Amino acid sequence: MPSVRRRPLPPELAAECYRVRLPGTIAAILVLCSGCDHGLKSTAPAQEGIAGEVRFVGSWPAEVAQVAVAVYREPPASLADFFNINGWDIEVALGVEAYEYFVPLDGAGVYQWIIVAWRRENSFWDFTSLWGFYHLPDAGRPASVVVGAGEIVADIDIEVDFSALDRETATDSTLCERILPAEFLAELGG
Amino acid sequence: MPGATLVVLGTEFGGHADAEGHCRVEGLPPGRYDLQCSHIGYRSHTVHAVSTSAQGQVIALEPSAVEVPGVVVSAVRRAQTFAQAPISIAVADARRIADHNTFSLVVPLRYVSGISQVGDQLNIRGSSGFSRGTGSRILMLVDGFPLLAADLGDIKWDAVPLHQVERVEVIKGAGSALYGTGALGGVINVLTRDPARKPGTRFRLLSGLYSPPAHRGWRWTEGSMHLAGFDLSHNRVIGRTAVALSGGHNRGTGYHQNGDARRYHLYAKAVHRFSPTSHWRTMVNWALDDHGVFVQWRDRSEPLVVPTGDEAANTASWKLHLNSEYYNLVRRYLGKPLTLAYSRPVFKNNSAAGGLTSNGHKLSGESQVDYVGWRDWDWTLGLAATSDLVRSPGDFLGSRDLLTVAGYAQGVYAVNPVAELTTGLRYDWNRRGGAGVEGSGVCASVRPAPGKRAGEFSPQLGFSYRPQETTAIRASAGRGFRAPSVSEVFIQALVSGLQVCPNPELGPERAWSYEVGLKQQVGGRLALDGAIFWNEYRGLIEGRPDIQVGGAVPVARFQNLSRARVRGFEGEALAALPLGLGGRAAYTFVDGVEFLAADEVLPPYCHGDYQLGGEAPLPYRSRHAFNLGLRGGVGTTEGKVDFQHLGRFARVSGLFPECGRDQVPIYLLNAQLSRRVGKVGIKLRVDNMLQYHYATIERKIRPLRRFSLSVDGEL
Repeated sequence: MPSVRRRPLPPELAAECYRVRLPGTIAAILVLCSGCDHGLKSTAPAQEGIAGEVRFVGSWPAEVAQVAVAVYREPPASLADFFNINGWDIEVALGVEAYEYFVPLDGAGVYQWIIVAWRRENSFWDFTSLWGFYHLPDAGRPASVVVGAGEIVADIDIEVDFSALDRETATDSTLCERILPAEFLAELGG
Repeated sequence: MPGATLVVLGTEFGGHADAEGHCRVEGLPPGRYDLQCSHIGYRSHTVHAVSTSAQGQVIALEPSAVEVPGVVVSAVRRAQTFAQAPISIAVADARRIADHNTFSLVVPLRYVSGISQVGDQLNIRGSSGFSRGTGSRILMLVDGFPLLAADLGDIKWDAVPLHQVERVEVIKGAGSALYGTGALGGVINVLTRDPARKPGTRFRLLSGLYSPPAHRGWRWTEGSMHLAGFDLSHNRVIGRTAVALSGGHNRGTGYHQNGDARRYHLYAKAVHRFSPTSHWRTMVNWALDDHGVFVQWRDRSEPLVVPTGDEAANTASWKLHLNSEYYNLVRRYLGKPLTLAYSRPVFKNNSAAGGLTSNGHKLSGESQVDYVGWRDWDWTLGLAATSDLVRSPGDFLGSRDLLTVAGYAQGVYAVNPVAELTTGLRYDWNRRGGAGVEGSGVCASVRPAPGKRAGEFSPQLGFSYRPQETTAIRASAGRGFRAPSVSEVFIQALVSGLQVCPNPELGPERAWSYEVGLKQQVGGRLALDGAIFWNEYRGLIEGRPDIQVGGAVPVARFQNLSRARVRGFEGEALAALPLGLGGRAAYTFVDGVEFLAADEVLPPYCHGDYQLGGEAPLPYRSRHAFNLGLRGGVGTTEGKVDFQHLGRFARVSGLFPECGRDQVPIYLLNAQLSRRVGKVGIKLRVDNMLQYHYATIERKIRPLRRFSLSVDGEL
């Protein structure tokens, strides 16, 4: 087979070809790009919320009537604020070792208090109802959770140690004193 | 050859060839010198031991299809050939920078091999993550003068006089032996052009338009998203003084809500020659920046919109930078530069952006002696002092001052005509003064602490060997350190729902940097440059949660991490391809890990499987980075296509619950077409052709596709 050699274009014609081809190529790439992967995907707004696990360590007290997980944007500054809850899960199963909770929220933001509370039979919730709170490892203070728009923040786990509570309930409100603002306790006369 | 550049190596002397190709260097003291001649499109050529008594030296340049830098000045603080540099160094010249049709130097530098961009910060070989505008592990210099802000310690990119940049040299690796604090991950030295002796006026007009996002639901405006601006400069000679004046303005909407910006800058540079061997060079630069604030998106479904209440967030700042140098070549072997610099960054956030205000002053002076040819050694000795003063009302930064005094020495020993040994040592003593750190509010548990004093030794050793004219081998080991910035020690502010408290105990971060590299040219059609690097870090400064302080909002402060290591390799090939095309391919592999201390407090989220006492990837580092480029042209018309790919980060900050959910690998394709008609150039460019949406930091999307048109020219 004789080899076929391509005859080079005259320089002025080659230049013209470049002029025509290069913008054409860029335009073609732009058209083709409309079908390309565009990286981050569009998402619809979704429900905000906080989810996690409440782990109960030790033996359940016999007089428990109801347990709840409550979420606050700000720590209560007064007793009235204690009931100004931004989201809750009041269906915590009783007598279990762990419970997966979910608290739907009404908006994005910083939530400073995520607590577990309980109430006795024939009594109502009050500030001594605190059983546990979300905190960073080894920290003695509540930790805040930042919830973005359309986000459900998971793995916000809370531990309730009944044996520790037994020791603390000697004063009935040690846990509350540890996490409640001083002004709030002062209002309560404590 | 008209326009060729001639440099007398190891000195400040040089010049450009006239229309006949003649170049005359005046004032050189008698002696023998090495000359290097370079020109775009030709291979640089060095002639050794040329005597000043010679009547004329003819230097012939061979055409080269690949362009390799000729002379660099940053690696050893004096002119040497690119092949002689004992450390990896990259050069981006004015033409390459102008290719990007931009007003910011960040954009072209992110395409330099070994550099990546996270947020608005650059990262050299994985040394930096993202520090949210405080501190920089890259030392930024303009003509050798530090440009890190006194208050936040960050790089003010809008203060770089881009239209006056002649070239940018990037040192990859620790460089504190020469440059002191800040040169931990590398050094970016921006070299501005000296005023030309021939009067002239240059201009550039630039405008651009962003495409709407690929997802219809992301559109935040019915109007156009645009930018526009100009630069104008003029130079002339008045007596013995050459002067350049420049000014510019740009403004635009940005590509997202609160992306609007107005920027102005003024610049002047003068070189007065007392004699052929002594001159005084001074530069003044002023920049004003007024822009909206976009810290994070409102919602993942509306990533181009700010959170409700942030619509009016705005920050205004201005920066003044002044530097002055007197140079005197006393003898053929003894040069004495004396420098003085002052910079002042001022910024004010409006109340919607937190109401923070800062006012900084940085004054620095340096005296250097260059001694050439003492028993085959060339020495550089110097003394330097820097004073930072910050005056910030309220608790934000307070009134603080830092003082640094340093002495350094560097010797380059010519083992033989093709090998040099470089050795250097610098000692920096710094004092952190001002009032003691006192926390207030949420940070009240931070107790007052006295000022702190510390000293740092930074040694360096380098070797360069050129067994053939086309081969250069290099090896270096050096130490770097960075004293914490005023903001990292003293900041008290609520930022993005995160309360940041001061840390009076914060110490410097330190690094040891090692590398071995090879440059190889093959027949004028292929140039290769590769390096293996290994960096060990101690006490890296990162913002981490603080369990000592707690309660109201998430609390963090800057802390020294125990230990980290970044190792990897990079390679770059420049090739002349058939049909007159030129190609570039670069790849960088980075393996960055942090060794977690047993008592370390991890960020609240994204712990993954990381165990205290074990290893975790360093945040915001891509393991793989590719850059590809193809350039071709006919006559005065040129086309160019660039592609960049960065791998997904293995880890992000851990301060946001979504962790790396919105991190995707990055694929960017850019193209441009340019044509020169006489002294006027026209450039049409498309950035992010694929309209690829990605985020390098949490909750902030990177620029959309942008069309831009620039016209530049000389009058």
